[in-house]
Amino acid sequence: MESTLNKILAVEAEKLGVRFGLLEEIIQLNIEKDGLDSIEKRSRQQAIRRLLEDEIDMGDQK
Amino acid sequence: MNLFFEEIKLKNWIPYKGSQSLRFSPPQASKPLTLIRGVNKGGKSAIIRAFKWALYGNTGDLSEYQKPLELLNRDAKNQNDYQFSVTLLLNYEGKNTEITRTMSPRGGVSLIKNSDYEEYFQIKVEDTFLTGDKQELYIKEMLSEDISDFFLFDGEMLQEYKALVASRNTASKLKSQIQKSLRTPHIKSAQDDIKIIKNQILKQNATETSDKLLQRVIGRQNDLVLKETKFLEDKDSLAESLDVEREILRKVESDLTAYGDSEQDVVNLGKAEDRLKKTVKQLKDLQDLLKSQASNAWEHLASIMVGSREEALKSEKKTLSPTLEKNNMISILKNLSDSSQKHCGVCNTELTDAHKEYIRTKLQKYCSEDVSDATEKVREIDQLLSKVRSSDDFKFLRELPNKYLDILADQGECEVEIENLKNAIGASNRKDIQDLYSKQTECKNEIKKLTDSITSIEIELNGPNASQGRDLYQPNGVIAALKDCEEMIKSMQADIPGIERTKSLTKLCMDIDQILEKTLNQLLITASSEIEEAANKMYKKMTVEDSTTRLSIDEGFGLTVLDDRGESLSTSSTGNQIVALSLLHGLKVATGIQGPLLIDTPFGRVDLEHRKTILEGLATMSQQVVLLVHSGEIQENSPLEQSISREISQIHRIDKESDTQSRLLGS
Repeated sequence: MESTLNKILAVEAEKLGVRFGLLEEIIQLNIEKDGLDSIEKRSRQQAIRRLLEDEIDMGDQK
Repeated sequence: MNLFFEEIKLKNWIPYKGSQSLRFSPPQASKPLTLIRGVNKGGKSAIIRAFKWALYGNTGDLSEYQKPLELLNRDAKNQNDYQFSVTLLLNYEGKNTEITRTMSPRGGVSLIKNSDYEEYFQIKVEDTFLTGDKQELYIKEMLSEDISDFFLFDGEMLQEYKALVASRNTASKLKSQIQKSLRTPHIKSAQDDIKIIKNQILKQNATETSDKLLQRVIGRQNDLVLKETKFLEDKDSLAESLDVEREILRKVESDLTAYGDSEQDVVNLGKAEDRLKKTVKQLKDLQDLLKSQASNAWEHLASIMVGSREEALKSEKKTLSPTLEKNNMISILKNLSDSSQKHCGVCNTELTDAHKEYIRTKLQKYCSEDVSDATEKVREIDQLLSKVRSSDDFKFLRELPNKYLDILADQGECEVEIENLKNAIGASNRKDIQDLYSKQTECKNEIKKLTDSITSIEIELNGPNASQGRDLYQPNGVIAALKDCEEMIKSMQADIPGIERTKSLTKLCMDIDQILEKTLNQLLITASSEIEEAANKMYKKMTVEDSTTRLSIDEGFGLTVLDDRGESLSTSSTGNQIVALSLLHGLKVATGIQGPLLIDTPFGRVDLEHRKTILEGLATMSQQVVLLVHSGEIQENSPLEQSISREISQIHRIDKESDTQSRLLGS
């Protein structure tokens, strides 16, 4: 992803203790699936939700 | 992004009949420039169109070169060879990639129409063919169409960058492209996704419970979220328009200031012109009045003459009194002398013959004196005097010439002032300044409208006087109502199983939402300053004159060239080209999106003096810069070509063989 965006995202993520990689993946999904089609939107949101749940599970395991 | 073009293969593509190709040498930092030279209308633009069509399925043109038969070489068509294609061989992230787009008519059709064509698209990465969505995703990741204008473009298009400050519509289009390159729309949509997911999690939890009250509260929360999303979307869109308007206004006002005294002169000119209009109207009114007065002029004239003799007439009337008495007497005497009268009409005395004789003698005496018709004379005098008495009109008539002269003098003064101001301002400046003033008024009205709309949305969101959403959130606004809902849900969910996981998920959503919000705000500010810094470096490199000028890019991506005192300067077409290329460079640096540059007619509007510096600048912008030039831009073996020969890796040629055919000739 892009440099300026990454720099800012990393700083803000650290402030709230959220993993930078998770944010990067969420934005990447929005770049890859950016159509206006509602089916594409829903599938993107489902993918993001899976990422979030995995993130919580990962935290639980730790 | 590591991307460079290796070869382009064309088949029956616009002027290129049969199969033709051009190979590009591998990019090298020391020799990044490739020149493709050809005459005007010889097929240079067809090359850029071929790149765009192969990648995105359209040539980027709005009105032509869109239908298959417009893209097919005419001579090939005449020989019934209807298939055409473009193949790009490129290297992306170290992998050899082959992209081919082909248009072939369906079999069995004799007279081929546009609708008979079928498209075939193929992407091969190393030895693997990509299928379905992966093709689109690959292109999007490699060089998204949204930002392709920053890589593959016509040099003439660069002039449109001036529109970033001049025209509302074009500015919005460019601004949106810049934002896409910065990824701000994607961050925003990610933020929306997170909000939706958070509400889904909460709602799901509610359906898992049998608590009717909880379900109702969550239902209300969902309605509020919908309202909030709608308000926020509207507000964002209005705020975006407001930014654009403010930026335009700022630029317009700075342009107005640049006119110095002329700006005030135009204001004064406007006032003087208004005054002149007023005097012309006054003169017209007076003329109309004069016309109506003139229709009774003879009466006025007579009255004036009589008026000047008013006193004389009065004394003449007095002198006529004895004569009047005499007339009365004659009338009485005539009556008495009548033989039929027996008695005096006054004292009733019986009239004797002696009386009658006396009366006749007296009558003869009176009639021998001057007894002209005094009664008639007095009546005329009275009429004339009454006219004199009603002579207010004359006062007006006497004052009229002076009034007329005063207004004429005013008019003269206005005309002189207008002439002087016009001379001071100059005709072209005046038109420009007036245009700027009308643009300023237009902007101010638009800003007022947008600000009012944003304020009313904010009231609906934050209260305290929200007027809509009567049972849902009135009067404290959507956000407060949502907070109440969340609090209620939290307290009601305390003993629902799995609530801890839900809480963790919603907290993560809220944190991500906050991070994205701050990133978005920070990104625009930081990116602008990074773009400005990089753009200024390029600007200095490409500018030959006054080194004290610099480029200013604000958060709204408005562009201004400033002098050493920080005042804005207007730019020539060469200046616009340099500003646009500098902005492109700034964007590439700030967004990290690097890639080959393909520019058609880069120097069409650039003066000779700047071509060398721009070429030197371009050579540092990318490791592969392909310039499609006509011989007038960079002449063969000219000092200009020689001066940059160290940076040129290849020079290709396009030979125009006829109106319908050109040939690509490698170096």
